[in-house]
Amino acid sequence: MSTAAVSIRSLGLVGVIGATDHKSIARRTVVVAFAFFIAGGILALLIRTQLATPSTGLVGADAFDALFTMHGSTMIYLFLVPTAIALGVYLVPLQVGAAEIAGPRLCLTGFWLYVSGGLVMWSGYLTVDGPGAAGWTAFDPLSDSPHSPGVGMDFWIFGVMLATLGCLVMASCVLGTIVARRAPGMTLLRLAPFTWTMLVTCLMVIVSFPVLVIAMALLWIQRDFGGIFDSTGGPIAYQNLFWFYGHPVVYVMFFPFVGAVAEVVSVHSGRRLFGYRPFAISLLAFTALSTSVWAHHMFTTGQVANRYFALTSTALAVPAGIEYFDLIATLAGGRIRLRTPMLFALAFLVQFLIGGLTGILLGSPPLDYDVHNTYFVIAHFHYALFAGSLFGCFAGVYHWFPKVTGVMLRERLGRLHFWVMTLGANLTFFPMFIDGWEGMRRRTDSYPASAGWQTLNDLSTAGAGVIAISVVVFVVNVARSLRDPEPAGPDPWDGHTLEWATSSPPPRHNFAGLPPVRSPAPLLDLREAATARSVGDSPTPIHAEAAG
Amino acid sequence: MSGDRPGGSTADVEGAMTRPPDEDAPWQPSAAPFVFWAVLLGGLSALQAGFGGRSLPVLVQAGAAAATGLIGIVILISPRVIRRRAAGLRTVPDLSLASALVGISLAAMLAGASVGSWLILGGFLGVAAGTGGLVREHRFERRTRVASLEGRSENASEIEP
Repeated sequence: MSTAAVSIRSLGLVGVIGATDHKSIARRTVVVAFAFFIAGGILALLIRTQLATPSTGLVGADAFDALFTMHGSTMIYLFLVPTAIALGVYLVPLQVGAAEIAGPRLCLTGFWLYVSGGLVMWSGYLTVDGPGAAGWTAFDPLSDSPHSPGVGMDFWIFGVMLATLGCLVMASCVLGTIVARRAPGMTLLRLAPFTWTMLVTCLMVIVSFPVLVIAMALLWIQRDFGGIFDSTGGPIAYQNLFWFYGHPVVYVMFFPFVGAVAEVVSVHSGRRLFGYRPFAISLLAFTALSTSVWAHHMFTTGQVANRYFALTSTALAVPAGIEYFDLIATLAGGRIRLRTPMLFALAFLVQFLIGGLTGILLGSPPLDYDVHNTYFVIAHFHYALFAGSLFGCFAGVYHWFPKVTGVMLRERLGRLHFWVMTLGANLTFFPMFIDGWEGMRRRTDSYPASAGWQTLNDLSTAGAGVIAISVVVFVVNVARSLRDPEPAGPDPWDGHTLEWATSSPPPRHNFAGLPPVRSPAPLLDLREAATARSVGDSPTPIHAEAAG
Repeated sequence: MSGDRPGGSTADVEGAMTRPPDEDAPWQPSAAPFVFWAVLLGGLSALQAGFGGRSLPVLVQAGAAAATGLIGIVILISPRVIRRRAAGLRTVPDLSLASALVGISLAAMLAGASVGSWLILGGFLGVAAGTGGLVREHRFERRTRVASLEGRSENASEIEP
């Protein structure tokens, strides 16, 4: 350990505020994001408690509006997006063999913009009128001053702007690292699968996030001065700007975890990723298409080219299918180790499929008209983002935790976490498909007792409680593993990519030396070469017989 | 100022700062994904226009295509600059309180629009102080780089607290 590293640790708070090491920035981002995840999760429990019976009356209608607004906003702007980008901030420099992220100071500024954004958004709860309550989309005119009075809504807008700007800045640093900091030999077609997913994620971030920042600035001007979205087409213009961010962001919260799953699947199957090149090309096509489907959220407005957006939305199934095929083909014939990361990765594959296929259904205008604004949509995107992305995220967490901390997570607690969370996720979100299909509207704080939805809602509420228990199990696992550490060593999984070529946790400048990079799996190359050498050196059966 | 110090032990810093340019190693600019994306988005914008899309959605998508293409072109025409920066001598900061100050102060300025002018002013002062700190850090880094290139050992004394 370097002397300077010791001195930074001894600096305490100063180090927490100002350390520019990409690993430190990523760790801090994940810790803050996890805190917001807990906060957003508590809001979700309140929402589910309210809906457990037709008219529970736990909170009033206005407070309920604030609950679902802050739940959605927290989970998207303050948890999943920053976590996805933080994974890139930590891993991309390591996977491309760089000593540092490009623009470490900028990255640190981005982190603080994100943290400040979260605090500003949540400080709405300290205001007289409460926080933003116009949904995570803040459609105009619902979000304008007459309909959403109070400074809390302004705080929500500023919070979104700051958090988004912070994530944009951090993603730019990740992109810059991929463009300009790759180790000798690391060509584009030798990037690790995870780094490929971060590359395309950052592409989406740099084209879509600035549009949201502009949309939020315009929304604030509209609230305070008017004249922006007042015309007949104003609200539709806002929706176009918002969804140009709002749909790609779903993939920003998805692709890094696809990358994590691809790494987990290949490493824990002991095989190279099947179809690496088609995988990379399909990622590029997938993300370009996903930046071209946003108005399927606006089918019912009648103000967009429905046929075009239905076509692009349905076409997403093609690159998605290629990626699924690659992942499944990697599993086929592999020496599969069913450890906790692999369990989460497999569940991701199954559960995201449910979210993805119902997404294609929603991409069809006639069907979308039927279920628009219902719990069917809620179920769809929770299967995509919770049962999909979050499971992919946990696959990555269990896979890379030993690298980040130098300590293995407890396997038995990990499995318990997995099974409880799988039960909870499906118990919570599957009944919502049926609720929505039967017409239960989203964003409602009560429903008629005669509708017959209570049983399904009870199941969802119970499921939310089960999810909460699973999160507690995870926290206990982390705490126990750190308190009573089982050392991981530099490469506990027989990893394929460069991050496993250094110590756990990696030193300040990541590498003492790098292996030659001749494929996307340089460490696997080394192992295979060593195996080939040992086979070549050992006596063949004929020689052995002669020697005997 | 702690932000002035490059980090790590002397050997670590030297290793990180002086990654040798490897002329023979395959290195290529990364414009391909940007160009691919720009072409695809441009084509999709045209398709949307063909389907009777309204002007704003088509313009937004075409703008994204243009922005991506522009980045690709910049990367294409400046591989030497990128390569030199990637492979050449670099200083690596360990701490930068100024960067944190700029981020927090920008947030304060923005929140000040609703809270009051005092917060805007405070945020502005913070941004100014942070920017000054960044300039100072950059100056120190330049000096460190020059000293390292000239083979002077003053760098080691800077990093050993």
